[in-house]
Amino acid sequence: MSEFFAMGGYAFFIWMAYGMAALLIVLEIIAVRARAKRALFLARHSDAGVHREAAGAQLKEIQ
Amino acid sequence: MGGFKYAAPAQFYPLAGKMAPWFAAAAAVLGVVGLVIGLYVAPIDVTQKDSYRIIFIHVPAAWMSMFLYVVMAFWGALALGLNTRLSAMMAQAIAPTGALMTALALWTGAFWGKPTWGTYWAWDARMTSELILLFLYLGIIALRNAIDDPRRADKACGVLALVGVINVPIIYMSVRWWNTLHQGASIQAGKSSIDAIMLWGMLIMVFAFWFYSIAVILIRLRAIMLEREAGSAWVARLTEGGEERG
Repeated sequence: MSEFFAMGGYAFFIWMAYGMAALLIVLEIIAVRARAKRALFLARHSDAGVHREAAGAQLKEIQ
Repeated sequence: MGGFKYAAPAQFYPLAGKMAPWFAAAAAVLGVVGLVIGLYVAPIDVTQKDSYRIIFIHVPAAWMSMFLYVVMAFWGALALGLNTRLSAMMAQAIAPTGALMTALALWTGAFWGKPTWGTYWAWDARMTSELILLFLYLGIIALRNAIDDPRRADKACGVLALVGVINVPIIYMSVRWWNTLHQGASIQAGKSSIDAIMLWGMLIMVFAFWFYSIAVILIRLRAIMLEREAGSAWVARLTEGGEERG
């Protein structure tokens, strides 16, 4: 097992390369999921906002 | 009603949502198989010893960095020519993943270069042109963030992407056109210079990176569709139907 991680003496280079690949991929997955969640939340709320504005405009017309 | 039927984002939104998990699952399975082959099963290289194992992420990342750029420029051009919303959003969704792949290609290349050539970086043609690719991606992302009107941003980013596409064949051909520090291609149709199991490991990793990119771009595309079309009829319909209102 330790022989595997030693990578024939190239451990530093191998794990710096693979470690960064893993880190960037994990960060991108977290970021894109957060963005999707936020977009869905805002879509619901901006929609509600449009309705509120429309309701407000209607109210003014009546008055 | 007719407008809803022919609005491309409205139709593609659910389709992208259905497709993304399959591509993600395929990427995960292929990624595990590719890693096992690349880090364990494949024998050490005669000249480069274990350090060559970086090839299994370096080459897929480098290929994706160029491939994604061409696809991004294609959608950007289509958006410029036909003024289509969905293609502009496709281009927008690709840029961050393209930048990530380019950064990864440069980083893994540096940690391959040090044990192989004795240096992390050299201003040779292959590396410099790949660095320019990273700046192109970052420039396109920054340009979009700097322009408030999304349709104007689409046009500006489309033009920049198209101008920059000239860099892709330069990256690809650089190891042939110039006498670079970077080695020539290991994989060529019919006469690859590497062992069969190494070739398989690399091809599997290429597909893993490919499917990963598709999955993450589809999810980002869905977010972009909502961001840009919030308040439109199809988004209202989507947020009203089924799920509870927030």
